[in-house]
Amino acid sequence: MILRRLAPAVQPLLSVVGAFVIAGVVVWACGGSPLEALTALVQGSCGSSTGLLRTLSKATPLLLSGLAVAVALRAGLFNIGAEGQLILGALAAAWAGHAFTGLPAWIHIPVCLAAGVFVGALWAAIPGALRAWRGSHEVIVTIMLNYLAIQLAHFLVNGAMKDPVSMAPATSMVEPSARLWAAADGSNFSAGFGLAVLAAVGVAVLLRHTALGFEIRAVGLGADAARVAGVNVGRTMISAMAISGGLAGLAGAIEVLGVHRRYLDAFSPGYGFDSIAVALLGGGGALGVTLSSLLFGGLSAGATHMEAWTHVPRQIAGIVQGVVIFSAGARYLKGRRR
Amino acid sequence: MSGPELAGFLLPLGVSALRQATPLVLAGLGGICSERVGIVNIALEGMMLAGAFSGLAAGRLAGPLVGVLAAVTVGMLVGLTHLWATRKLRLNHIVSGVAINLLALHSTTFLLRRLFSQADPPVEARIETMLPTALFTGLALALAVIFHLVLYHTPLGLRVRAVGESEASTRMAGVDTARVKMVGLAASGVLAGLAGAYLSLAQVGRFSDDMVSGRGFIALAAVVCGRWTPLGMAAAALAFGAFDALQFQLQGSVALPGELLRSIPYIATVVAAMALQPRPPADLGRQEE
Repeated sequence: MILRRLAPAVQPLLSVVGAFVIAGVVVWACGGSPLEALTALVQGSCGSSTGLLRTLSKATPLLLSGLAVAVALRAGLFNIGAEGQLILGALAAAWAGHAFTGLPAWIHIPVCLAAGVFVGALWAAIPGALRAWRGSHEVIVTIMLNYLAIQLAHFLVNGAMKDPVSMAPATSMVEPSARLWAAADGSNFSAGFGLAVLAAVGVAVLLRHTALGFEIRAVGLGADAARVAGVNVGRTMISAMAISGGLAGLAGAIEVLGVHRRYLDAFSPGYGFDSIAVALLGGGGALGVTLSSLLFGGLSAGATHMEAWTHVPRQIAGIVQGVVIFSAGARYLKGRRR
Repeated sequence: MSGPELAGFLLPLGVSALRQATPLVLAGLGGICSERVGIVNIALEGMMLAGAFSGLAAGRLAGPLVGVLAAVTVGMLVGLTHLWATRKLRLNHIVSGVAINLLALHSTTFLLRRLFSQADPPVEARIETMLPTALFTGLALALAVIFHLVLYHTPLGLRVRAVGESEASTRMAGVDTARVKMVGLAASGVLAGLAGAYLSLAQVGRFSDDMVSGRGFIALAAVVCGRWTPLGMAAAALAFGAFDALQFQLQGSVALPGELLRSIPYIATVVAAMALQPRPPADLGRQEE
């Protein structure tokens, strides 16, 4: 019984172990010591309380954008556009954070988060609607909208939304009333992690216990069958993409309110792309995505420490991620037509 | 503006447009090779990056021509990996493409630091003798015409198109479809690798982190806008190259924000995808059962 419940975790675990072995061979081939590198990696990600908090803070955007990709996947849609949705969500939250003044924190923070969610959802609803109404492939459209979002944000923070007193391509700092509580130890850990976990619970409830969640899963299993069964496939696709984009927008908003305190041009190191690995390894469910975001968060937090101590470039973490996608992705979305 | 002044503005603009369009045409042809045999290819970016890096690394050791050879070989291997992942591992085409892009990005940055320099940032590797860009530009334009002739006027082209429309029926007709796909993906990698070699060996003479910076996706955009045809793709790539060149020329002047000109390929592609007119090959993305 217990073995049967653990069975779904075996393949993801194997693919992670395999990826670490391959990365170890790469480190060894380049003249490093894999064991030393691994020790430093573990030390940096969970060897101290600061390291642990850094792991959680790195996991926060990965968890939210991983959930975003996962929700779309459950509807059979590939949201490659989490990066763009995250960027515009962050920009919206930064705007709401400094444009409104004199609000109490318990109103201001939710307003900023809502702005991020709304803009992210809107940006993702575009490919959803084009897919539903015109049959346009969402992968092509989301890739293009990513680059469009990057250009748009670049344009705005160098012009209309630029902080007038600073040289940096960034918005003004958000009001103190819009800032999330954050640890003072340099780990960048903030209350945002709690919000991300709440969102994971919300996604689990949505998928399992609501009519919309049922429709999303039905469309993902087979759009034609779902249509025959009376599901409005187009509307469900748009909703799934909007929820997906909302989660990615929330990830961006939390990065602004909890970590950077303003929108800084090109602040995202590619969370939206890493989220694809997070979602695939997590298997599309909220619990799995949470666990895999912690793994990748730890990897990212530990890699910086590892680079400093062993001179093994931190990009080895990205190589692990790529290998994981190859091995874990084999389970998903076989034979989907575009 | 007087005549000579106009010529003084347009001539460098045209040259610069061709220089910007060359890698897009080469990689776009690579995209056509892959997508026409039914394999979705969002991995052009990663293939270009792998080609740019290996071209420069080999070029430093043994000269730029060996570099080009290394770039196309590595590109071909990446292309065949994409085929292997989608056919043998039965990976979704998008998943495999995402993994290849990620692996190419991180392993080239990793190797750059490990092999050439420990400094961080800025990190880059240089090469002394560069190849003439005109060589690549001429090749790219000639290849676009050749691909058009092969695709629409030879038995091989008919087979390629048939595999893309319906692999099952083509196999019934006695064509070795597995081999057609292998040739398609190998060619796709070779062309994308060549596009990468152009960037590192001819255009700038160095390799730096993520130096392809989205050109692989713009090449994909040109494929979609050009309706999966070599000449249509080349026309779209030339147009995108021209906008890119215009943005460089206008830099500093306030007439148009550079971001708007840089956004044109993306907007055009969304509109093209919306119009549904560029119908992709019918079997594109299908997994064999």
